[in-house]
Amino acid sequence: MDDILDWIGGQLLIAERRPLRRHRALTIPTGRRVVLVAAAVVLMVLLAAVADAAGLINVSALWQQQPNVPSPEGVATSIPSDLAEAYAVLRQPRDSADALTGGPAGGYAAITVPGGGGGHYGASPSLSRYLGTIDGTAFWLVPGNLGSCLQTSNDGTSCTSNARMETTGTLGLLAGMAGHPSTVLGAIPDTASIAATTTDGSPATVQRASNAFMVSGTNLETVTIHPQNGRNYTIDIPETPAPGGIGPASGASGR
Amino acid sequence: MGSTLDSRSDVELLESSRNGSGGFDVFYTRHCRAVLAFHARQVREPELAADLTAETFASALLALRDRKRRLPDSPVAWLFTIAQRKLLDSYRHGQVEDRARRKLAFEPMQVSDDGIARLEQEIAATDLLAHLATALPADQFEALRARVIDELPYREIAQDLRCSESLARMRVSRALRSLRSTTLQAQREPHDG
Repeated sequence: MDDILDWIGGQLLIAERRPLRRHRALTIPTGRRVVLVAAAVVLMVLLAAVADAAGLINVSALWQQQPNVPSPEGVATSIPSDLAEAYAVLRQPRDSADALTGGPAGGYAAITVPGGGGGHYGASPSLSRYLGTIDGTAFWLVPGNLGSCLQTSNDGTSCTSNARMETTGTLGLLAGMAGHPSTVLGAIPDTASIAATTTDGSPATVQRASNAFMVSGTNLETVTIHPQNGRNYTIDIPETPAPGGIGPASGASGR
Repeated sequence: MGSTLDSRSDVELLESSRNGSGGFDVFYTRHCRAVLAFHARQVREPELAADLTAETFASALLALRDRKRRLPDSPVAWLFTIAQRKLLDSYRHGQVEDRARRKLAFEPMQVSDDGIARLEQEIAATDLLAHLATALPADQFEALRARVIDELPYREIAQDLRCSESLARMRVSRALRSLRSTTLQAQREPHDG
């Protein structure tokens, strides 16, 4: 490219003529939006009930954004190039190991239900990539045209916009109850790193499998993602209630 | 790129762009070399300056498309406010942001040796101060030339303006406030959907 200023001008001209994707979502009728939000809330309640039955409660961040409307772009048919730049695994050819196992009935309904998180972002199970398995939990990255999801075999789904996927990735928090450890799991881009601390200030061990991570413990204090842009993202882990009732954990030190 | 012979004012071009009738390419053509020269004075490397120039105009286009924001009364001042903020962001984060370009689905920029040589020629041939002097009121230009373009200490600004240091601070502050009030809140970029 010899004339860079001309090239920039050309890109701007194309952009000026192209409608922004997110503006289309505003054209969805209010009535339909209300129905879809209600469906999404029901779905979240069902997932929370499943987590609760397993002795765990999804406290805040299993889903980064509340799903409300399906993607105006529909379900993705290809992986967005910016997303593929951020995750090398998405540039690899897809093979049988990348397929989600279990199907909607087996736990990934959130990806395929129109009002669910995956539907909100246009995530497509047919584009999924297997990231690895940590402590018996398998992780898949499921790209979409507006956002993407991290699907796990045991611990639900976490979805967020592709802009966030490309910088900090996505994560979910399973806050321990009745003496169980709290667990944070997620996926980060190739260029990001992650660190965690315990209540006594020492580093907590973060397990990794490709872009997936998991960190777990009864004394987990913070988890921080360090993206390439320097804007660190930290979540504080809620204190673990004591077994048998609500109150300070008997085995945990003060915060 | 758009023609520089277009007789419409910058304000008219931005209004036209917002209304979907085009015009941003003409605005770009008029001011891209000045913005490039502005960035080149700070970062020295032509390809970095081009990167910042692209992000500056992409942010400006994104801001224009947000109908909740008022159009600027002084488009050149608005544009250079965005440029300065992009520059400061790049200093702060140690890299040139590309968020606006990604939102607009820009392709990755490819830079050749010939391209860099042409950028250097454009930078050398552009008189940034002359460009700004014709676009801004005299008092704003003088204060901003020192504070935004040259980034000199207030003592030197005061000497340039032949006034006390405290008065220089007030004049710069007033000029910057005036700039901000005429901008499209360039610092507040649209959030993700």
